[in-house]
Amino acid sequence: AAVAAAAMLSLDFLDDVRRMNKRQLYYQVLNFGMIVSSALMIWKGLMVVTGSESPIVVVLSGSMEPAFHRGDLLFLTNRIEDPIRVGEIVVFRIEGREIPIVHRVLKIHEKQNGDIKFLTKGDNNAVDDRGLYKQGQHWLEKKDVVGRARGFVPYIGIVTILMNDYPKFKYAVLFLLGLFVLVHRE
Amino acid sequence: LRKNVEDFTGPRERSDLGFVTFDITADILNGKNGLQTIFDWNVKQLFLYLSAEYSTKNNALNQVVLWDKIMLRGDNPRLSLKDMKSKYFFFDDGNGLKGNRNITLTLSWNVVPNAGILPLVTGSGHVSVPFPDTYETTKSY
Repeated sequence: AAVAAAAMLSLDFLDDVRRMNKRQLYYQVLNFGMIVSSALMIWKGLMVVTGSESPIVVVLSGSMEPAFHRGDLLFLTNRIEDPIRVGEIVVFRIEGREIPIVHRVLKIHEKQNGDIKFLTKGDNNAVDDRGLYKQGQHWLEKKDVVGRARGFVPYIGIVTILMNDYPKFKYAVLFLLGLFVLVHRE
Repeated sequence: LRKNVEDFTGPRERSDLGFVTFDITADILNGKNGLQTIFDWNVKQLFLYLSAEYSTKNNALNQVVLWDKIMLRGDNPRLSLKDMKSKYFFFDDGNGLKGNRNITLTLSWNVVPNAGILPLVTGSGHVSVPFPDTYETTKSY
């Protein structure tokens, strides 16, 4: 009886979609567009408030364990007024590489005019990051910094990692989301 | 919070290399809660680090982490370490350690919560250390 009821419900659902006339469909599409725009605006707003081009990042490696694990979500700020100091957790990009790295500042040398060069190291690594930097590069500079980690939430970022590693999963999620929004009557 | 140190500089290529031996006696407390233990329900671990801060001709501000330690929830928040050698090489960017009278050593920690804000706290009490005017060539480390 349960299976029959479920089958009936899904048929009703499809009937509803067919019954929606053109105007309602356009309305739903606009609704969908508004949701996407609002999400983008919130993201851009976060970028402005935090000063970072990537205000939320997912931890991809285990080099900062046991503090952070793969899949943890980090909240960053990148305000110029905040000076870079040892002990801070920075997210940086090495020139020419796309993937940002989350490690801790080990050493800084700052000149009178504010020019700073610094060295980083992952908590869980035995050695500092010099081996990771570009050939011939011994220090990181302000321009390499994406942001400073100010807060975090564990586990939530696993979804992003799954979507990256299994593209079919990503398409399935997006398809289901789109379907839900288009068909949801409000 | 108390730190005692013994130190000397050694020449290494063209940058000064400093050697520091230290003792640390400390209680890590949460000052906001009237000195209760720092390990409350939302503190997963502490990342402790001893940093040396100083000024040189080359650079207005230098900070070097000499030693660090991860303290997990459940560990004793009381530190009593003696005769510790620095974990990381204390290289200067140049020759600013020789004769530098004012190197400040501070113990700080990063509070890592189960979820939430990641504050950096500086311990109260720091020690100022002078480096000698000459390079040490005979002592082994």
